[in-house]
Amino acid sequence: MNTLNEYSALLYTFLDGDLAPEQEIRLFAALSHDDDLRNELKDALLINRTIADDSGTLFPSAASDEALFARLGFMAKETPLAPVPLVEGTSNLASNLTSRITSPMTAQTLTFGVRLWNGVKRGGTMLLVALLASLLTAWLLRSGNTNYNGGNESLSTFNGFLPPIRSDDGWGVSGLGTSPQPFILADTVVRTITRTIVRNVVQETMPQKKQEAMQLDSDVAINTSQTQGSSTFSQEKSYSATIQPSTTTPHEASSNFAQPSNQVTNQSSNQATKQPSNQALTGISVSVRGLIGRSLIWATLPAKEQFPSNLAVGAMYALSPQHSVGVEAGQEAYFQRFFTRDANEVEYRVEQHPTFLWAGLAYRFTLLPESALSPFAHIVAGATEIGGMGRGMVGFSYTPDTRTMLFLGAELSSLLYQSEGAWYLSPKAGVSYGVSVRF
Amino acid sequence: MTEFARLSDEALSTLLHDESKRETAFRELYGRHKQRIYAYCVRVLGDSAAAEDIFQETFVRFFDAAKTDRTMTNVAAFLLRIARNLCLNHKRDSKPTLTLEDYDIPYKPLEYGSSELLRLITTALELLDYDHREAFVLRKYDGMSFLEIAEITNTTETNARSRVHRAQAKIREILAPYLADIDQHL
Repeated sequence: MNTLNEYSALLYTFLDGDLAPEQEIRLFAALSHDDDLRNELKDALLINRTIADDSGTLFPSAASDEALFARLGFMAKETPLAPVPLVEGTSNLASNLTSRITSPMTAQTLTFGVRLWNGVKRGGTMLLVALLASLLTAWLLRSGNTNYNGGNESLSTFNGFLPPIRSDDGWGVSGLGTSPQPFILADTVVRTITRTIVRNVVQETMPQKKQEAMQLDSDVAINTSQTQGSSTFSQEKSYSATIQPSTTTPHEASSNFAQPSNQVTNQSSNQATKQPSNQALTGISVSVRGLIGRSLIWATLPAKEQFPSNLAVGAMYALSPQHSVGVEAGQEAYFQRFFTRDANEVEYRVEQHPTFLWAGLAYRFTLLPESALSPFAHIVAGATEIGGMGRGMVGFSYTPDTRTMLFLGAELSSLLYQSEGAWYLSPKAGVSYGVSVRF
Repeated sequence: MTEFARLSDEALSTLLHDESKRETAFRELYGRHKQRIYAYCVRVLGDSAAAEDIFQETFVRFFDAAKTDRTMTNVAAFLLRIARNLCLNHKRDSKPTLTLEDYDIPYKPLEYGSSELLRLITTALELLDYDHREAFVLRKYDGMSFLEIAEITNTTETNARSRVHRAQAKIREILAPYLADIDQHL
């Protein structure tokens, strides 16, 4: 390299802070009349400032840190949104679905379904109680996938799937024998809370219902003594009852969409049984559904799921027997693969599988509303924390009575998000199942 | 602040001999020195991918060496020596870099921002010969004194100072057209 001229050498030494006082005088004298030297000083200061800014930004990426620690055999730390090294390979669809099916949340949804089945006969309030109980149990069990050992059931491994068991009072929750494990503790808490609510809240309304039923019984008795076959009578404005020698099917009941109805079945001589919750339906329904899905991008990372993942709740309003609109919200993991750059303009392909909250507007079309079993289509247009989201589901719904609907469908959904100006889609396909309760 | 954060580099390097404390001690040392080593590798090599590999290899070798019973009095210098040797090996095994005489940065109007200027400076840095570039990086990125640079690069303090100053002057010379352009717009 070329030798520096005398004043340039003085200039850089001055910038280093090492220039002697007498040399400073010489330098400043030269600066006072030398434009080139002044420009050199200005440029040197600009370069030094730029480099000082740069040196503060030069850090290895989190992926580099983790790769180094992995080489040294250290345990990896959680870095949820940091670029991660690519892992070649394929995910196992069966194990993916199995792990989701056996998740505590899924188990609780199934448990809730069974509770619901029991609760249908006891009225809408009980359904809400059951829902709350299920959610509470799921929350208590949110750690999931815990190994359990002990108890009298020689239960070696518990992966979160809890077969629902109906107890004597009809409101028992899932059990695991007599093993004094956390699940049992959670179960006991839920059972206690449920019973308390049932006794203190729900049963407060029972005397009134019993009185109504008794009044109904007496009226039925009077009317059946006067007529043969079917007859109809009115009891105030909001109730009607039909006396039928033969049993009324749920299908017939479900066809009375949003109509006040009351059915009394004449089981034996002058004996009538009151069916549950026969108040007028408002057209509003609340649903909870589970989601079992798999990314259509070939995901190579496990989902980082948080409670309550793969679950959606919604509220719908029936515009007509076939058309419903409403809102729906849930939480679900979406696999993401996108490109980003670090401070050194090094491009990374990032793969991550975070969980997002989503919410949106929903529309449902029921093809055969009069039928107990009907095809349906359900679409949701919504958003997550990071971008838009769309969902579409087709499947079948089963309506055992006027209030309850069970459904199962195939669902496609996609997350739309942006990274550094580029848009990405993260599509998923799967199965959705759940229950809906009309009010 | 953890208990390890209060310890000196020397004390931490001693803890690397203890298997139960090795990981925590290493993470602490890594946190202290990774920026300087990384900046050195990136700016001396001018190749991010190679720099990343050498950066990791530096700490792996440091870890292997530190696990033994040897005591380190100057961890920063030890790490830098490892990184420097690896960088020199990489330079020796790589194709020769272009010299200033056969390289010309194509002139184009600038979008004036610090990132653009930084890109130009790093490009100019890559055009310097290795000794000058290394001395400049050690001075500007690692904040080393001329005496420390001299010790690391096996030269005299005067020579180290001269290399840094010449590197600065050469960078300015390479960037002169751009700097004049920037000056007109500021």
